[in-house]
Amino acid sequence: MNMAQALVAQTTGIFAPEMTVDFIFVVILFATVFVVLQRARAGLSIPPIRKIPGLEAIDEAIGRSTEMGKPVHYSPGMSSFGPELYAGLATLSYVAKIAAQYDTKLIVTVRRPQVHPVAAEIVKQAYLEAGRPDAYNPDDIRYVSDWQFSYTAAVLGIIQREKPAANLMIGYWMAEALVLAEAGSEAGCIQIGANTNVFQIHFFIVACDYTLIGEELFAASAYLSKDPMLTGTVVAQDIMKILFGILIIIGTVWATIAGNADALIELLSR
Amino acid sequence: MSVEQWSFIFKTLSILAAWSYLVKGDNPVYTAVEHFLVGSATAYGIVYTIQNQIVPRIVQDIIGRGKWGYIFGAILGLLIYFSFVKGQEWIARITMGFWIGYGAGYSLAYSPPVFLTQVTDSFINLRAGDFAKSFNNILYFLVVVSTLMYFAFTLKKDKGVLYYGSRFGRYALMVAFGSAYGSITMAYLSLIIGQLTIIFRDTLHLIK
Repeated sequence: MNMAQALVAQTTGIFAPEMTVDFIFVVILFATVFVVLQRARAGLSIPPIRKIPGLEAIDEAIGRSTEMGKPVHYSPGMSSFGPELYAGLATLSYVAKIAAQYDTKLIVTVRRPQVHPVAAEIVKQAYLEAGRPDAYNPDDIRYVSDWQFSYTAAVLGIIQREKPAANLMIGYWMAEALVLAEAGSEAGCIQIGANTNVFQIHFFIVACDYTLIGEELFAASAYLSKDPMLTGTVVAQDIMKILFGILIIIGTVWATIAGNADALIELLSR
Repeated sequence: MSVEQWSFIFKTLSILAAWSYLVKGDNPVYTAVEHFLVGSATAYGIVYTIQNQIVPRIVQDIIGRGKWGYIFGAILGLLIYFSFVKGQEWIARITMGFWIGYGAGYSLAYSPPVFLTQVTDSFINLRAGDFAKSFNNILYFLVVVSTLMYFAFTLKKDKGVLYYGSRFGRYALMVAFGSAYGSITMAYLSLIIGQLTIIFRDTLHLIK
């Protein structure tokens, strides 16, 4: 079922029969997360997350800023409340804690006005947890502009004027990706970019020192915290990926043998 | 000179001021146009919100149609300003919690249909008739499966199918990104041509 059909289906009542298969997949996802989290709670072993160099480099980037006596610039991306922003904010919490411990100035720029109080609260909490509530400066958490390119122009200016030694762009990015990454590179920043937008991520790959590609962004909070509970959710996602991979293989074999997979698609569209 | 001509001159000066960043980094001309852009965008945002959200909701919906339930939404939104009241900051967290919950719920409600469509769109016939199409379909299938392997974070991928599969997936991603880089860069060049057209055709009348 596509998005338009789903929207129509949602107007038919609390339970849309047209979305039964989608519902089943959501239930499987919930059940998988529940089982894996129960295992984590019981202290049973949870497979570790593979090494993600971009996340390993965060400490190095903040350390470099500390040594150079320059600030760190962080942005959780262009999106409003959604998966990418949550991942960006979770990483912000980690970055703020490290910055507070190292006594390094952290500049956070946000595009959406509604994200500003949340980002400010996260940074404030991180400084508190690091035992440095006095070092928290609300003026360093900056709402710039809701308009895409005025945000970009302003961040360009901030990077040039305040010369951060590290530029962390963790979230969802659009046409400003190249402009910001190039500005950071020009200013001599060590740069870590993360993006789920396949039409823009390549600009981070060429202009940043490290790039988190797509889904690596969503594994960030679990990877950084090493919390078995959060790692459990990544394990559950992997199980779902295996399930979808098997489904793709079955569908492809079906289509190759029968000429098409219409019957299977019909079954999954119910 | 007409208003339109003045607007072209203003656009040209703004474009040149923005491009001055490429020559001299941050400079007074760039800073001036940057602040003008941020200020005008903020002003536009305020006017847009008043005209398209606040006034229609109050005048048309609440007063006109008697949708008094909207007041609860307004109160919930206004609670965010408690973040400026010392000692009462916790009240603002109610609004933040609502926003975060709404975002999570919205994503969850709309993501499964998109995922399933992507899965079913991947069911392709590997024996499509002619060689070129079959090869294309086989390559597509291999790239989809190997990319899924690459994005499995907790599986051991030190040997066997998963090792080679995830490596192939990574190379496939790089090829795809390279291709996207080329096409998006071409699109950006067309944007630059648009700006040059404003300067040389609309303002200076040097080209037709």
